[in-house]
Amino acid sequence: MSENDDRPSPAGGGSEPDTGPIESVGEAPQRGRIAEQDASTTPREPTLAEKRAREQGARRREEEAQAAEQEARRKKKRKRILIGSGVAVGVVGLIAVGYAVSSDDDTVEARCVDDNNVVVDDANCVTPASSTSNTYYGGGGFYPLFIGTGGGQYHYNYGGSGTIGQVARGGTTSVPDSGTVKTPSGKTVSRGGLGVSSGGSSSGGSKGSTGGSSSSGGSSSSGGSSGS
Amino acid sequence: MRRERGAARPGWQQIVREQGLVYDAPGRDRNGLARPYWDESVHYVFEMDEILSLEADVELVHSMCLEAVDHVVTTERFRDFALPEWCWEKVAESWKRHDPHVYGRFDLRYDGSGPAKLLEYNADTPTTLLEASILQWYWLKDTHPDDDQWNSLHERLVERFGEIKGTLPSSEVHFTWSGGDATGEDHVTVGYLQETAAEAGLDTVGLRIEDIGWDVDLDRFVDLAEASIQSVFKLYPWEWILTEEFGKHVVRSLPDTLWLEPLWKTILSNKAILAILWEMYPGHPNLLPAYLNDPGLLTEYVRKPLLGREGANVDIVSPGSQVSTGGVYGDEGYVYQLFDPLPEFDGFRPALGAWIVGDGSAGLGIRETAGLVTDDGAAFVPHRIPE
Repeated sequence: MSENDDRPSPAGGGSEPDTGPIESVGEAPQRGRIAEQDASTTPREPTLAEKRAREQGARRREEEAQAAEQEARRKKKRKRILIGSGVAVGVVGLIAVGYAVSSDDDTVEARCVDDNNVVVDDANCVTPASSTSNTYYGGGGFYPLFIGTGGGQYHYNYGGSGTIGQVARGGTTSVPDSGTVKTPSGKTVSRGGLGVSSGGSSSGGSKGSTGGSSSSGGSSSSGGSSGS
Repeated sequence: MRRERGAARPGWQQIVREQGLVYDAPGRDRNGLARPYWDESVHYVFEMDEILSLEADVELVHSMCLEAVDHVVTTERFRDFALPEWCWEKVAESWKRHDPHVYGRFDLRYDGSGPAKLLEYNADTPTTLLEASILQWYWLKDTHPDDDQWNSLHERLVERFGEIKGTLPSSEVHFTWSGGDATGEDHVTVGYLQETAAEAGLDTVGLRIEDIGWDVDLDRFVDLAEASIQSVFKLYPWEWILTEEFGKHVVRSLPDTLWLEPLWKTILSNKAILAILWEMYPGHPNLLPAYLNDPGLLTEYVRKPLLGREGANVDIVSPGSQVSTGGVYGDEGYVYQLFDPLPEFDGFRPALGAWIVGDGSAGLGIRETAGLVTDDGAAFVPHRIPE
């Protein structure tokens, strides 16, 4: 038997009987107390150790309850309802449309348009094409979003259609894939130092005249493909 | 876990297209014939207890992965990962600084019996996100409205962007994809992430990574409006960025400009991590034995390039099968992992893509192949958990 085996040893092999409380040895067993408890019983004052243990227990239960609640909330999340019924909420749907139309749109032409997307004379295109925020590029053709642009902005639309005075349909405003572009303010910004130069049927920027954030109407000032 | 057949929804092509699936290059069946990339004529059924144990496995493996990054950084084992020496210190700094991370996808081998085995971890640029989050969810609602699905991706992404919002250098995040991808997959994936970020209250700008400009005078990155870029989400692999022209600018810009996923994920997205994990946790039930540079004692193994993608350049060496896929990867070295073939269901082999968002498991997407390697011929199939 190992020493810390504290089970009572079977049979009476032990020489030192350790059967009862020390104080009972040699005397008649002391009579125990008989008490009754009823509805009038009030709890005794807890010991300090009990108080402490109880507080800790309560804290633990609370933590457990919180964890269980969190877990339940997390599980429930699997069952979810996306906001809005049209799934692929705004942007994804819009992007998808761009790629959906891109397949049959291989040649790209550039038209200068105003902020209402009305085609205007090329000479108007003096601000960087990129000044429009909210523009999304497709694989080749595309539907730019003209939301909240400042007044009087002109920019290039690549790959759309329409003649002067008409609203341009389709198209993109993407800029050259690479090269150093001199902007009107004279800052030197190079682009194309990350990524893959798009080949084949990809976005309009790589087709036809470059331009993009070039300085004036139609003239492509972007240099060769080398960057910074 | 079982595979079931069911009628596809009438007009499903239109439905999934409207939900954003324009990059539906067909998969292949056993005879090499075209099979829809999104194939809802079949799906997998899981019991809730299977999902719960998978969830636990995924979170455990994720925490082991973080330990492994810490080990690699502490012991400076960057050479095993074929990382260029000039970026080692920056990778370590990115880890020590706790640069925030958003999401990742574990590819697991699982057959319904026994623990899931980690095949690899797409920690840097995981895709199939829209399929897992949106497409299969609406499939479930349309076909099995009372059933459940392991899928809280959308909510968790919104939540995660909300969590990291305060740690970003700006409240505006530029979301970038490569215009070199003409299929639209990268762009749609980024667009979707952008939406979840916007839902979390971040201002977002979408642009091609090729359009990111480097302002030489002001020594900073700029967008097409020439506004400074301070927080960037890139669906573009770190190992490519590091070798490109702006690579050094990108690394030097840290942490003033913060890039998501963070630079320290170069360690997790590299298959050398599989060998490190096995070294740190030998015999772990969720891992397969894996070694760097040579197969060690393995007689049946899969040789994977450290930085390969979409199942390219994978060699399977085993008595029963000799498979090699072509591709352009492998110069950087290989990891050798015990060959544990994907289970077969009706002649198809599913690989489970388990999503982690932040540090919690967030959903499941299944890709099925006829062959042993889950490559670009795989089809995405939905799943459900019966009520």
